[in-house]
Amino acid sequence: MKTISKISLLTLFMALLSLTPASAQSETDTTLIVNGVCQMCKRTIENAAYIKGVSKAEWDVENKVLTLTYNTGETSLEEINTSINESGYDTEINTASEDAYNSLHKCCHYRDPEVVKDHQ
Amino acid sequence: MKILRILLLIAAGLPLASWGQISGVVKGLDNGKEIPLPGANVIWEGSETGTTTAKDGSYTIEKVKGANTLKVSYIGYQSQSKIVISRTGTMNFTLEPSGYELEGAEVVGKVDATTVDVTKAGLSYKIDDKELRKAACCNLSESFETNASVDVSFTDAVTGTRQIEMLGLSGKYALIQRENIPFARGLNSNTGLTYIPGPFVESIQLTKGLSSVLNGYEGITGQINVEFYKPETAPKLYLNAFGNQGSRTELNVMSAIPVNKRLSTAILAHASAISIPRDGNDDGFADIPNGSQLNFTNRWHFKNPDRGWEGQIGVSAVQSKKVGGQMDYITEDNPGNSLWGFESDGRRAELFGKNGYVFKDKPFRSIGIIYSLTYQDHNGRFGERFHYGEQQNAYLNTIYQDIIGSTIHKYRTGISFQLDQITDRLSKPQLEDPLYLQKRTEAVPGAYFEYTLEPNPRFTLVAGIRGDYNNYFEELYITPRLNVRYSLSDHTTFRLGGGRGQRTANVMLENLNLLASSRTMDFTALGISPEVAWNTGASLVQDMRIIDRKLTLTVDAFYTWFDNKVVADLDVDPNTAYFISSTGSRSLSVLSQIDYELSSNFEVRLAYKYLNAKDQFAEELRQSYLIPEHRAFVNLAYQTEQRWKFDLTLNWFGSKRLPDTETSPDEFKRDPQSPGFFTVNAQINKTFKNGLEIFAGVDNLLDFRQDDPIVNADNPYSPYFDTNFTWGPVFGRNVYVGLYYTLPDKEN
Repeated sequence: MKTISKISLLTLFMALLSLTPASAQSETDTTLIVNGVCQMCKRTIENAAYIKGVSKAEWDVENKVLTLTYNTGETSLEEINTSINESGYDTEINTASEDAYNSLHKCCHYRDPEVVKDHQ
Repeated sequence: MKILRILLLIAAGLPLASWGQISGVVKGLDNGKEIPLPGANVIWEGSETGTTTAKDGSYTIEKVKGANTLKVSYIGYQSQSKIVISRTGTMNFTLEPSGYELEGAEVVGKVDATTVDVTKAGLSYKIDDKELRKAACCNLSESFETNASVDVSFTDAVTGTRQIEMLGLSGKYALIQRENIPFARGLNSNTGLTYIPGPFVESIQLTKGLSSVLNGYEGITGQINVEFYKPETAPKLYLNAFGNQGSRTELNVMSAIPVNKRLSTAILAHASAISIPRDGNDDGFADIPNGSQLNFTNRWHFKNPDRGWEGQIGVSAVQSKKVGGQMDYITEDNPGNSLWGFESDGRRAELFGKNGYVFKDKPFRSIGIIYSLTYQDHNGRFGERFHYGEQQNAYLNTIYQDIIGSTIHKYRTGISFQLDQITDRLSKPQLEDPLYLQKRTEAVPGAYFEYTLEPNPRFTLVAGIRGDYNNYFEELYITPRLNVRYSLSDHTTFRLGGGRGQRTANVMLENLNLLASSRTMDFTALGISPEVAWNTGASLVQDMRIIDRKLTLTVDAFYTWFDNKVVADLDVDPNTAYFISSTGSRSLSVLSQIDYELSSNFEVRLAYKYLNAKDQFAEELRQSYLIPEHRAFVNLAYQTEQRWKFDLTLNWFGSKRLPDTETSPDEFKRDPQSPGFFTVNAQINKTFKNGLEIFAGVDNLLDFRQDDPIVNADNPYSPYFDTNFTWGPVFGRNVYVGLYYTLPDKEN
């Protein structure tokens, strides 16, 4: 968990940098790489990312990048990351649990090289 | 390379982030139960970072930059890869037992699937047991019915011998192996296919064109590797029974017995008979000989996963008897010498084994050894001529496999030894001297080196070279071979290959069908050097989606050119067969095939093959005998939810060239070209939940038959008698029924 807190710190640091002094709002933009293969994955990932405080979550199936806008006062990247993991998807930070992954539809089994090949 | 992009993003976006660790547990399925696997290899693909699991199967591995596929391998299990982009987390693996065991060519292929299987660089097909059951009858020579690359036809109208054709050339120019041990070579090239009962076969790998130098210098047109059911994976009990209208009955029994965790054994047995002679075309000759065959194979498989050892040893024996020729010869107890009879009595015994060792922590490094000892003999009677063939063979091949720096550069190298003692004798009882006699001892030590370059998943290059010293010809032969594969995308793959192949001809025993005639055998123009050919080929495999269904188009072209080939010339004189050694025989084969899924349970296969096979005969270059220039094929396979399977195959064969009969008397003259014809085969299978599968089918549904396959059938002991004009089915419509029974596993 050390790594995660480090990353959160880093993110926080980056978030702070992105704060504009004129704004009292703590809206921040960031990206997170989430593994997935298809449009069904996209729906699940984006739904999982839309937790309270998130105003934008858009995942690109091509480059696996999830673009996020969220309010740092209401949530954190760590929370969003956990929510995505719980929905069954690995992020660059952490893996999803076995059970969550197995509950995904077969065509979404992005860890399987064969499935990835089928989607290309 | 999306994945690279991701990694770049990760690396660029978070330069300060420390790289984490992935941990998990590796388990294996053992009879349906999950057991932890200690000592399993865990490696980041494309890197040198790897680890092995602890006693409880657990592992922890550093996340490596630039690597995103975690691969786990364990001897006796199928290796498994998972794409892992996360820096930290848990990743558990559950491995399935390997479907196939240690094989010479793929000792590591199983343990580490990234190791290039040459079949990847060459154009290859896998025919599995489901495909084999589409054409239920009976032995390997009948297993290619739904494959357009290989054709099978009768060599003549008497002996019932079937010969395969690949790239426009007869089966002896293909490398036919049983589990990477040469099988149908020498004396066995005639009988080998019928010596493999179809139900023993788990799968067939068919590679067109030249295969790896690892397998020796022999195969020219392709490689057919047959895999039997394995002790580790075969059902506890498996039965197959078959019977047809032509009085052919077959019984196959198979049983696999796990002795303990490390040792298992399997027994495969076959018995078959054709007991009632039939003469459908009324020429006085049985359409197919009567006979019986017995096969027995027993082998033991052992593995010691803690130490990385795996191996097997087995014995195999075949006995086959056939009686054919004139109907009265078969039915009479004491036929005497006035009737024309065919008799065949063959035996084969084999001891074979394999051992493999995979280095711990280095799944890409392994050593394999394959060996076999065989004895085979065959007594044949063809009217008043007798043939005796005998072959004793010892075979040894070793394989060392490793990488150079990273898995981008791989190599395989080893030494081999092949010893053949062959007797090929043709005689007449009333003559003291044999008509033909060759006795030779051929010892061939050899060495090979094969380099594989796989810089990315789209490109593979396999370059191999081997040197073999042949003591019989007293010469060192160098065999180079090259195969390249390039995938433009995941849907388009090009392949290119070429190289040299060589074999030692066994003149009489490979042409026994010619003895089913009154032709004199003339060997005066025969040279003494091995047959040498060069083969080159190119192919394209294109996948596309049509109405949301997958369509695969395969187009391949192969050209084979002979520096030296033994050609039997039947054109010069209808009463003589001249065996000549000649340069310049060639064959061009172009095949285009479409596989289309009309719906999820309805598949269609369409194929068209163009063959231009020419032999350099005594007088000139002419079309080879009995090879159709055009050939087409349609296979329809339909499966219902209720486990019914329907299979229909339509074959069309174009005109074939027949031996020249220009100088024969009018009544024995034949058209120089056969007519084209269609055949239709159909089969229905029904599978039940308790492990029973029954089938019924019909061969040659249209009842098309060649009326007069034998020239001068009334006077077989006088000139012009010849059975080598068989261009079409001798048998008419033939209905068959049968069943497969697999004892269900209790654990499941």
